[in-house]
Amino acid sequence: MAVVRRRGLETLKLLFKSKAFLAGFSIIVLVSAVAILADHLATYPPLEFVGRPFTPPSRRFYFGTDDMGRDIYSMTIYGTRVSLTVGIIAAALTTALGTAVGITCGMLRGIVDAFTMRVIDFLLSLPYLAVALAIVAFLKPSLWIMILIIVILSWVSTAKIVRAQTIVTLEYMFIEAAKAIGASRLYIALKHVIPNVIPVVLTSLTLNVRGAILFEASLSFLGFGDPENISWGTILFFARRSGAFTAGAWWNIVPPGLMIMITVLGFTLVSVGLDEVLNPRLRKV
Amino acid sequence: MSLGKYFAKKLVEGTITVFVGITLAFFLFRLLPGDPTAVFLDIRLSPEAKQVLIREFGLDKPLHEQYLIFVANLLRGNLGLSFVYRGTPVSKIIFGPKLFNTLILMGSGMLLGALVASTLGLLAGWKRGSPFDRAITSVSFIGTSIPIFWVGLLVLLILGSYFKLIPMSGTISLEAIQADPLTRALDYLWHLAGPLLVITIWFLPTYLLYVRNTVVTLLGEDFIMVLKAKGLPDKVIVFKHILRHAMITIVTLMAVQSPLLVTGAIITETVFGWNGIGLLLYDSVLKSDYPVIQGVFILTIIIVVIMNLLADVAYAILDPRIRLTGRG
Repeated sequence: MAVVRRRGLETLKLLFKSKAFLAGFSIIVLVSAVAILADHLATYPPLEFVGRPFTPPSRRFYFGTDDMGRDIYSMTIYGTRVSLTVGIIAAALTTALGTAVGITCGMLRGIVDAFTMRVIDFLLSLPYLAVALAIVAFLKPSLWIMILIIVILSWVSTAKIVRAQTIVTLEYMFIEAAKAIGASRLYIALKHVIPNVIPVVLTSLTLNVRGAILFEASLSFLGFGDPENISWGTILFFARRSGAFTAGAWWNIVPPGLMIMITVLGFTLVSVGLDEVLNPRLRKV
Repeated sequence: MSLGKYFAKKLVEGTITVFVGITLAFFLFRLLPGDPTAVFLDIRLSPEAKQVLIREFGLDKPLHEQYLIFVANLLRGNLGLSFVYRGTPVSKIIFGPKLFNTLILMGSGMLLGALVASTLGLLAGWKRGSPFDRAITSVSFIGTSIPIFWVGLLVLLILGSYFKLIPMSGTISLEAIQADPLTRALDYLWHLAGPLLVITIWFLPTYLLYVRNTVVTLLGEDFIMVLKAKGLPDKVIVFKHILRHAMITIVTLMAVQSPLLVTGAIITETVFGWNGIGLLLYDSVLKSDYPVIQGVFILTIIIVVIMNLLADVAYAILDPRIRLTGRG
């Protein structure tokens, strides 16, 4: 146990030596802080009429107002909460499902595996956004529907990676040894396979958060976001609908987009850092 | 495996995928909440027109029979009637100027992206570690984190609203519709500029990073050493030998990312009001035009499969090893 803990500590030290990880981690901490402290940071209620339409940025309205006189700064702050929550919950569920399927297929092989791989290849060739739009055409948009759509469409890549890693792990000699002393499949899965797939699962998780945030933003931007919980994508949807760009109201467009970009960049950097430290052999040049 | 056999195998696989997609579309649109026949019957249709559709699609029969009728109709190109464009066949709405516009936009955007990416990626990889390489790699890395719709809004804001260089929306100006072919073509290209720029910017960073990394990996390989030892000039090595591998990388990426073509079309066409399939899908979702949504959904799957087939062929021609081992 002590050995494992020390290995964990060393890995952490290595991680914080990676510039990519450090930069990404700092971004995520900052953005999360904004989400948690939203009530203190926001200057106005996000959905209320507080000033004249399309007021440029000023000391009263840091990022100006939109066509309905709402404070863009406060909307962006609260949007952080929604975007991050959807991104993290969806990514966690996606990764959990993908990992479970990946390990199961990698350990069982045979017909179940072959069939699941076919399904995965099919899902990978589906145009995600078209499927999502076909679904929201029937269901009333809400955060949970959005999360559900993201999970259904994106667990496959995690499953593929985890399956591959499981198969590699099962080739090791110590698995042979464990089998020889009569270890059960479940024991091997819990004791050997899971610890060995954790590195790829972690990288996959960060990439899934990135994907989920972008996906949520795209759907919200098209107007299928939750009207009660506005996210960065929703603010940009309002901007497009109100013709903010025709009015030259750049302050309606720049802040939410920048937040999406910075946050997505943060998770990408963390995944790069994780890959450098945890999967040195898998690293692409 | 011969090239013909290899292609036949891929064709069969592609056909299976399309059929699974059609089946999924059929059940997805009927199992979701609501009256399953509502997918085909516009409530505003006259009773006679409804009777025709019910007969044509067997809507009064059990679901499995409906499915067979649906597939048979589909093979004949009958996708039902649009709700919004009263009584117009879905196939007529899809296969026409809209599909043409989308193919022009996405095709040229993807090619332009690939072209710029190979050039810059090749240079960056060749001069790896140089300030040029570092600058271009960092910009591309950040570029992969930018949402495409935001790029679209920024392009509209800067080039459209501030500099008035591109039109704010549409595929063609009202005045140009009546004009001579040349004016019309120029007007079309003028409208194409904005969305084309966005699609190019969207594909560029990923393609570029992959090409650069392929080049860097290759430069460390033995056969490049041999070529160098033979005294071949760098230019020949890069443009003859490395370029070929870089092209394989790009072709692979194009195939793997072909579902993204649909995403790109939906978002860019919506932002720029480009009259294509993506905008059609978006409008149809807003107006609950189920037959059209279903038709576009099936079309997008077919396009993705075709893209993958084309990539497989290009692949087999560029890299004979794939065809010989039957992998890929």
